[in-house]
Amino acid sequence: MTDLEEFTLPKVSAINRYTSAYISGLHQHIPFLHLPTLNLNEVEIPRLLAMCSLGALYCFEKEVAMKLHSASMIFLGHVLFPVTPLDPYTDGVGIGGQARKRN
Amino acid sequence: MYSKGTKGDGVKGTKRIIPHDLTFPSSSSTTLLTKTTAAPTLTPTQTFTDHYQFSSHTTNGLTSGPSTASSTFGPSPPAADTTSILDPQLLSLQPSPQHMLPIPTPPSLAIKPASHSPDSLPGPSPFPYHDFTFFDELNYSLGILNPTDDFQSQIDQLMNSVVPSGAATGAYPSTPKPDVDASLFRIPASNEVPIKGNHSAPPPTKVTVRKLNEEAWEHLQRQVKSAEAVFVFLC
Repeated sequence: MTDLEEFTLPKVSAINRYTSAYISGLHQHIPFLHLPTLNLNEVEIPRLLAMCSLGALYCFEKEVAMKLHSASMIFLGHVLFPVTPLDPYTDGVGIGGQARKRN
Repeated sequence: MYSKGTKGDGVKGTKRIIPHDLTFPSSSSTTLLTKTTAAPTLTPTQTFTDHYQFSSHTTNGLTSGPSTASSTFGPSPPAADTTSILDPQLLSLQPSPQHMLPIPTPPSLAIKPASHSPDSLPGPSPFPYHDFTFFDELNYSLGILNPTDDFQSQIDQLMNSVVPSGAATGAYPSTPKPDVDASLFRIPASNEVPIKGNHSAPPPTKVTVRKLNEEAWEHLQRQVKSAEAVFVFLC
């Protein structure tokens, strides 16, 4: 998946299942999130998708994990490298650091 | 890489002229030399004084009683020859080739070569190799695996013979016995439910994370749609 056109946000139950799998799985080994102050209703979308991607791996859903990871990277690139169409200094670099297509 | 000129100069530079009168000494001259050189007179070695002489009332050669010189740390007395304190018995224990040679073992301790045939062993054979009736006797003595029965009945018979309590049978009571050891080591039947209650599994996390609700999910969905629209616009 190279863009967001093929990405669909999982349902609420699936997101909650993935986050629960992340907390019961990876968080037991790498607890870098503060769970008492973690609110899934207020978390940023790249972080939420990354958590869901790791949780999907613990749910043995590899394809979903890859899609969530790609979408998370795209959103994260949009956060880290915000570009505008008229920015001449970042020409050729689009969302997620991908090469921008020219018409 | 060496050039020709350099090589020639090097050869010329190393050329030496050997005088003709320089010859190797013959055997006669050698004998003369040996005769002329006086044999050095060996000076008598110093007498060995064992400073760490072992006695019955000492420990590791050191006296356990009070000593006059050990109370203060002064400069050590000048030792003219440190080799004089070496134990001559240790010096005599140098490795010699005779230590490396194999020690001949007496014939009573010699290991006999292994034979590949059981017939070569002395005495009667412990196992009848050619008598296959042993297996028939074994099957008769066991008597649990009848080939005419089905697989499940054979397994049940085998488990009943192994497990003394007869727990694998379907007649096992559903309520656990008060004996803890028997309940732990028994084989559960197929119609039993797993044990509920405290067990050795890791405890669940006490922290409860607030789940994602529908309103927040719709907000995320709008973000995804807007990002997708921006992405399409950029492309």
